[in-house]
Amino acid sequence: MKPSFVIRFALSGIWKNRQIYIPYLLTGVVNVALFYMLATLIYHSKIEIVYGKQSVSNMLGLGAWVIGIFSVVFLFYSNSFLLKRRQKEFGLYSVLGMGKKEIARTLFCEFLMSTFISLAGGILAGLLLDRLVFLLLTRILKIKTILAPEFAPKALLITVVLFAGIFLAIFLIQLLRISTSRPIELVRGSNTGEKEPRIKWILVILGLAGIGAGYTLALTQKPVMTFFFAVLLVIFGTYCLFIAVSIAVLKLLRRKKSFYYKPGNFTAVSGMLYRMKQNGVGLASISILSAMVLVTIATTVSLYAGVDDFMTDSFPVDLSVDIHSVSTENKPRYIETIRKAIADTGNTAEDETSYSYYQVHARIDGNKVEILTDTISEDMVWFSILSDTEYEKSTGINLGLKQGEARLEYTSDFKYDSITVGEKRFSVRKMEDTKFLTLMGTINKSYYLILTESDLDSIFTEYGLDKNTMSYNYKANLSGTKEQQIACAQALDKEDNGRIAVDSNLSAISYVTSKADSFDELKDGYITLYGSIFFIGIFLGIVFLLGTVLIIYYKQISEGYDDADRFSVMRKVGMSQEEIRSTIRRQIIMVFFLPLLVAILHILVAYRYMAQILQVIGYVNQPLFLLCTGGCILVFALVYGAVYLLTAKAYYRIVK
Amino acid sequence: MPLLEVNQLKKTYVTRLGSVKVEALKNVTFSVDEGEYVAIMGESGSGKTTLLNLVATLDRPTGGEILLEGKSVSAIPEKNLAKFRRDRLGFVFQDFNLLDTFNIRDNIYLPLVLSGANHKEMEARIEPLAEKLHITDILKKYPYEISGGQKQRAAVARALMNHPAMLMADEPTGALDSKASDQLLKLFAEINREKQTILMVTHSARAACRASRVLFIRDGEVYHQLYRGQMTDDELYHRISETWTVLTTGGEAT
Repeated sequence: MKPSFVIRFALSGIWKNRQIYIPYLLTGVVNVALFYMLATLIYHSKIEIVYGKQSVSNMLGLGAWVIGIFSVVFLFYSNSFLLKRRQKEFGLYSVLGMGKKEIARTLFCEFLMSTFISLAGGILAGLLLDRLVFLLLTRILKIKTILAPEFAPKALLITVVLFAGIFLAIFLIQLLRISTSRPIELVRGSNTGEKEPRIKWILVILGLAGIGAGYTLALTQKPVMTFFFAVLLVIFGTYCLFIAVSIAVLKLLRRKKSFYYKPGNFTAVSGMLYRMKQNGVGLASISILSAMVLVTIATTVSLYAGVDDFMTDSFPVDLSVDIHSVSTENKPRYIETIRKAIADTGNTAEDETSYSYYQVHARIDGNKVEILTDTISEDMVWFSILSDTEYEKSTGINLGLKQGEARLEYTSDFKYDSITVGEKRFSVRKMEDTKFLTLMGTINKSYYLILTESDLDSIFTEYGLDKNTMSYNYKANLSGTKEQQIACAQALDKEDNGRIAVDSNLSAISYVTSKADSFDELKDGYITLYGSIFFIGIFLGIVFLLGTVLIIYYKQISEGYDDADRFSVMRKVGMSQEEIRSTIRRQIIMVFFLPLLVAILHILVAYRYMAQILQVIGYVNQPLFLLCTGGCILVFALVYGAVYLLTAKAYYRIVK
Repeated sequence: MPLLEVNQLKKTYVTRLGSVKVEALKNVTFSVDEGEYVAIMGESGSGKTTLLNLVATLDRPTGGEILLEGKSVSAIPEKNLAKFRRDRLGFVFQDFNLLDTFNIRDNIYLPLVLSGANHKEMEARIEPLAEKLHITDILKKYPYEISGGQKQRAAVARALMNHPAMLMADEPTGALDSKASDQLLKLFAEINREKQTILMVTHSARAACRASRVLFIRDGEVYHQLYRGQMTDDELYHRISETWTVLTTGGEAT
């Protein structure tokens, strides 16, 4: 065969199968573009100007990996459809006297073309969209200097090598398939009869057990450790569910004659039974991918949108000063010093609050606290104790504690309902967050135990602690400008790092938190971290969405070809166009929206879990997270519906 | 009154761009009486399938009219056509047209289910029919599990389930071997003896010689017809063969 003929053959092969080839190439183009854009960011020479470069490039690297892996999955998936449809064509060619060698050469030619189109299209799109992506990244990370896109040869190289490799592997698989088959098998191809699907009870049981166990974990257990396990269980269960449980349910429906032999149900139930066997895996994949899109977008958007709230929570006031080991008689002099520093720097203190507390070393095991008075241990933590009257002085909240009751302020929720300190056991009062903890408390994981005055006394007696040496916290809002506030914080810290000095003889260990001083820096840090997670979340969301759309599209197309014959028969035996249409609609809607419903159910069950994971990394704005999750589900359902309308059109065209 | 009357039927196909007109049927007139078994013969492309599709209301004629039981089928509004088809007509096709998604029983039930019949009634109807067509033991099987002859008998059962006014068959033996063909034709003759009207399109003389009358179509017109009269199957077969030779070699009928 002449080379020009091979090229013509390959071109016509692509054109004749364009309904399947175009989405295949489009998948290639989009994945190449996304991967290439991430790669250019990773290899950008000035990426270090982004604050917290490490977290950004870690995220980008992770994102690139995930996109790479899913590109492999999606491209192999669409190719399997392509191959199935084209087997007949290749069979016919062999019958007409085209040798396997010529077919292989045609395939090789198609491989070169599809690789070229995907890479060229993807990289071109990447180059065009680079500016937009860089703008997006700088906007999200709120970087002031504009990060200009630049051409990174290394990024280009990696993209080309990766995707050429994927396409080569696909080509080799096609070659293997063609070379091991006989022409007549290829011609018959998909016409071999489908066996009646059997109910695989073991899969039904495993599927229900998997989802049940996963859901139970998600609804009852603490996150992180069990999270991945629960996800794996649910994924496994979802596959079993679509493969086996659906068939079992449909077969039971079929057995119920008064239901089954009704005009609408008759064709729908049998059609779905037929479909579930072929598409159980596809539907389960759509479901899982949809859930992944939802989780990714909902969490990343919430994290990013929650930075402001998170920061405000961390800094309830402008200035917070903790002074340690102060005696009762010297306490007023320290307060004077603080007030003087505030006034000297041109500030006026507003909303002043203060309270005294006792800070001790302790070892904590579950809900057992052991106060360490002389030994020093590696696993000890700071443990603060204060009376409910002092607590009220600071927060204005009267806890109304009774003897033997306690309240614990801690970074994340404390799951026990009692706490034992030494010999004494207190029942822990649950109540809403009072934002008592300042940033310092949140970051250093400190515990604040609030007790009644008499309980506090008895603990002090038990451990022989001195009630006259205490810690003192002062909080106030400052009226001054940002510069004046920073000056105030520096003045308080000036004598010696980490000490506050009343005069040359009297000083104490102190800790000053100034909103003006550290807010911006800290916020930048969070924005960089959560911003880059958000940025990658958008990319991955696009990839997962693309995968969902792709699977839906191929499902509709391949079913359209299968159903076209069936519906022409039905028309001949007396089904009107209208009835056919409504049957189709009923059937597709049921098959189509089932995965979406399952995905939404997964998300609803996982909601508590995700919220807790966010809480572990310090995110507390539950209403915002609820809003983001709800919004994501809504938007996704709309997109899904739009995809349905589009692909249903393609389906109708084929069936007609 | 004849069961079916076809008067000056015309069908012209226009290509999509409207430039080429193909006259599939020019002027076809014939009638079928109740209880008759009529075979329509013609070469490929003679317009016989077009004719069947028009009678079956799967397509609309360009001119002329079709009367079933004295009523014009063109007068039936589009939305009632499907109902008309499944209530009044039964179809048997060359390639069986059984659905792979249903077992044989459900395939046979299909027209009745579409009419909204009760499943108890369907069960009552299928039993004697399956007995007669020797398909009782394959009712639970799927189309891909049985032979061509069995498939065609299942298709006949499906066509007869609604007690149609007319059974229409389009090359019913086309995909069968000679043994299965003979069996099926015997079955048709048997059904016809029970007063079932049959209209069959074929180009096999072997199939046509079982009919009570044979119509020949050429170039979209009824060219000749043969009545069985007192002839045996074999005699009719010879007459058909002679006519067929004349028909295909282009001469005039004697």
